[in-house]
Amino acid sequence: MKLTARKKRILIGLGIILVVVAGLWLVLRDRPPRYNLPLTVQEPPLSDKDPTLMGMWPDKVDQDDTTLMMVAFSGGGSRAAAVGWKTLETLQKTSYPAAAGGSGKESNLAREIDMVAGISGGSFAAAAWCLFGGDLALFQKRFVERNIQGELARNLFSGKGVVALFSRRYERINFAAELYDEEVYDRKTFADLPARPILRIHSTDLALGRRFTFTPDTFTRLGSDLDSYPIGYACAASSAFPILLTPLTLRNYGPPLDLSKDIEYVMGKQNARNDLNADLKTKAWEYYNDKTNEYVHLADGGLVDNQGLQSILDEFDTNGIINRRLNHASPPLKRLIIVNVNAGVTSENESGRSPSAPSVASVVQSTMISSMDVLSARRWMDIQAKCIEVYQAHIDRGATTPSLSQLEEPYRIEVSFRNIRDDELRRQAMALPTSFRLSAEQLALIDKVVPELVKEDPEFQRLQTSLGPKSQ
Amino acid sequence: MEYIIVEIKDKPNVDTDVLINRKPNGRTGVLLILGGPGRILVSAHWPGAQERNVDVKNTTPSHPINVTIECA
Repeated sequence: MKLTARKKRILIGLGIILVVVAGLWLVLRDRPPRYNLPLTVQEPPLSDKDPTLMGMWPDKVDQDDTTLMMVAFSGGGSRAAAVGWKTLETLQKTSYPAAAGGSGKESNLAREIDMVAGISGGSFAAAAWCLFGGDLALFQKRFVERNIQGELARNLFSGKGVVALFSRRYERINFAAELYDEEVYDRKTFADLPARPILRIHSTDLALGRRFTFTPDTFTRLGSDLDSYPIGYACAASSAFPILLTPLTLRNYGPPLDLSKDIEYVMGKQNARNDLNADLKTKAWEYYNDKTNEYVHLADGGLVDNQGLQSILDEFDTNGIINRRLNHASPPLKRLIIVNVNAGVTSENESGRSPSAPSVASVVQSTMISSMDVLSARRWMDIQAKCIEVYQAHIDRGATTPSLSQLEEPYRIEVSFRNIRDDELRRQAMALPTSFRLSAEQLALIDKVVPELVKEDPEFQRLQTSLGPKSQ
Repeated sequence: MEYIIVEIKDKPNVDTDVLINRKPNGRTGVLLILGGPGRILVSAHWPGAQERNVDVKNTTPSHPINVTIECA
């Protein structure tokens, strides 16, 4: 058969395309992303008597060590980051009396935060607060007001997008991580974090279906060094919502640890039958210790805890920060303050109005999002119950127990759209999108409702009364 | 939550660190709060203090478990 000139040109063109695609595949298929590094120098762990393990900061004279304050930021894309950031601004505008034994300088409530936990969109605000502290304008400009999802979409059609298309390791999440690392957090790593507040960024380990927290302990179990890991990458893992973004991958390096010498593991195994948390934790450590599991794939932290409240519940456990602080008497704890910043939104489910089976979107809403909201609400109720138990111990035994003698009823502050009193404002807030882009009008709405939500919270008002007239 | 009071055997007035799962957590002779029920290793920062594996459950602030630490 004789080919026409046109057909020949088409065949040559197809051949060239095939060669280029094959070439790109050969060159790029093993292009690795930036992985976590192996642990080379083991930093000596903090002494078990270090006051920072109880949320105390004796090197900072203006820090009130009789207050322990913990804040959790929920997920919800840029909406969560904006709500978290506005809450911090409101706390920053709340005067805090000068600490006893300090320089006499008045402080503000935000400076008293000892631990900040973040999930997904909330992890960006949590990390920024730890890194940039009082410079609220910086993060507002770099992240809250920015069209992040537009930039991520543009990257799809750039050189990075081509690499992601052909590489089996460099995925879409990696150019999100690079964007956050370079343009939001100035390439800062966990080594750049100050000693306080303690930062807890959460994601989900897809093999275990369990929370994965970026802590030195977790990384040691991976034989890896957290200090050199970029904050922006951790935020990317925390916000890698399935399908929209690919999971972020960590390496799990050998050699395995000798778990028989790990007292937390040994006691956890003894309690595993009756304590589900101990069971899950020890199983996770066993999994990471099996070094044939060379990779750990992480997705959005909101898949297992979309408000970061489990992180605070854990600190009530034996030897957790709250637990140890409650048992410490010099000085005794006066105020335990827990702030739950929940940027969650709920839309009305109308599937009950139709005989047709619910749509896929409706089923996803009910099974993945609404059920998680219920779990988070239960965690918040668990925290409230633990606070009441702690205060009951003060009532029963405070007179004879120095560590509990000064304790005020713990403060449980909730910043949540569900508490907006005005029906129309609440409707508008509940309609805010879950995305990485907010319009000026949407940001203005958040700026309007969040300070009111903080100030109208009955527990916040009780705290203001305790702090004195200047805080009101 | 659960509650214990730890004392050194024959030395009820000693005031020293209690070790729970080998970490300092509170002092001897006073009420200590635990996160929840279950087995813990209890000892104290005291010469020759032995370690005890204690199963703590069903306690209240008014009815804690008293743990006595023996010294070698």
